[in-house]
Order: sequence, then structure tokens, then C-alpha cells
Amino acid sequence: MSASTLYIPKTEETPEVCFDPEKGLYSIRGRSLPENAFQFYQPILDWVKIFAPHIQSAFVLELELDYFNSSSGRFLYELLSHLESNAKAKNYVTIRWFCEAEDELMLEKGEELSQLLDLQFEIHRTS
Amino acid sequence: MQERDMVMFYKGDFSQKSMLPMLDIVEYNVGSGVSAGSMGRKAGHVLIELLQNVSKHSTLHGPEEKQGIFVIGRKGSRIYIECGNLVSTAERVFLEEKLEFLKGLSGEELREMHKAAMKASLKFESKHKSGLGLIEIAKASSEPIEFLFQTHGPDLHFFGVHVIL
Repeated sequence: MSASTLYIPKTEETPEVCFDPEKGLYSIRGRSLPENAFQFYQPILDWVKIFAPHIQSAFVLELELDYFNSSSGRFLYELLSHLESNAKAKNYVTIRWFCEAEDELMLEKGEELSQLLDLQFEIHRTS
Repeated sequence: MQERDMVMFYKGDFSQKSMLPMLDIVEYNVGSGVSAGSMGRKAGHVLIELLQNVSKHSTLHGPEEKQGIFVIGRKGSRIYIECGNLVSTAERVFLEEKLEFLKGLSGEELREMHKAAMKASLKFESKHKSGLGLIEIAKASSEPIEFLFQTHGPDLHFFGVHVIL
């Protein structure tokens, strides 16, 4: 399966998105506060929908968000659900959630997402 | 201002463009002087949800003119956020119903409600009003959300909300 790289640079209100199958690097980093989260997450969801059924080996998605609004949370959940609902891919998928050691809010949000999903979900607290 | 121990007061445009640069200021101002390191971020998060959820309902003046006021201050060891703007009758009905319902829920019930709303959101169209933002605000509050409406015209109401973190 050859999938093209999806790269969206970060802005003041949206995170950097890097899905690079060639290098095997998948990450979303920064803040996600768009008023129209659907518009921002649509291309990412489309990419994941096409790519997820073809995951044949370890797929690690790193999420390092310092803020995200409720509508972004909804689409992040949808994105992870696509990875989860693909039975073949599920065993290979790991979500790495990074949050600052003192950031209780992002820790809680990571825990909430992990409880909603049947995926390997690691929470890493950075200093 | 000292009497109410205000940290910030803002009156003006509530659009995303105006509010985003304010986030870092809120985080810094609220974060300094309180022991809990993540309080500034929590305040910023709740403020964004308030503005995006509340100002989302403020369609009266068109998208380019979302006016409102907010106040952030300290109440003992806690932080309070007050926010106000004008809404239409339909928006008032939606907000009143959601907030009144959330007011009666415990922390645990709010967490369960959040989970259920997240799951349900996958089944709805992207533009469906899930009320997720309001649930998140209620979840982040240490006390039930207080709110009021004042009628200013047939389809014009002032909506005020008071949240204690």
C-alpha cells in the first residue's frame, strides 16, 4: 500500500499534522482550537479512512496537544475510532499521548479518550 | 476591580481572531499567583469553550461582530470566569435547557454524560449541536454553572454565565 504523505503546517489555531508512511512517522502537535473543526479534520479523517485498512505493521500515532477545543476532541475521537474499528489494524496501533507533567487538564483528556477506545494507549508526561 | 479581585476584564469583539492572542495572556495572568500550575491552562480552556460556545450562539450582529464581555478573577484559592453577550430567543432556549440540565449533575454524572455525548457525536452530522462544549465547561467547574438571561427585546436577550474553577 502506498499512501502519500499528509503534512499540514501549524497555525495559531491548528496543530501541525504529519502522517508520513515512508518514514513511518505519524503525529499531531500543537493547539487545536479551530471554530470549524470539521473543515480542519476532514482531510485527516479521509486520509486515515483510506490508510487504516492497510496497516500491516506497527503504527504509532503521537499526539502532543497543549490545548484543544471540544469540537476538535470530537474529531480526534472519530479519527482514533477509525483506527480502532479496523480489526486488522487494531493490534498494530499504538497511541502515544504526550502532556506536560503539570498539565492536569490534558492528562485528563488523554485518559478520557483512552477509556473510550479499545486501543493501546500510552500516556507520557513530559517535564 | 480590587474588591472583586479581578485579574482581567475585557469588553469587545469575541471573534476567534481577537481571542486567540488573549489565550497566552490569560494563561500567564491566571497562572501567576496560584499554587496549582495548570490553573492558567484550565482557565484558558474554559474561556475558549465559553467564547466558542457562547459566541457561536451570538448570531445577532453577524459573524464579524461578536461583541461581549468577560471577567476573570480570583475568589479565595479559586478562579472565576464571567462571560456575557447577546443571544436570540432560539439560542436562549437551547442554552437554558442544556445548562439547567447540567446544573443538576454530579461530577461523576458529568463524566459519564461526556462519554455518552462523545460516542453519540460519531452518529451525528458534523454540524449537530451536541452540547459537548457546555458539558466540558461544567466538568471543569468546581461548582454548578450559574447563569442568567435578561430580555432586551422580542428576540434579544443578554446571557450571562459565571463559572468557578
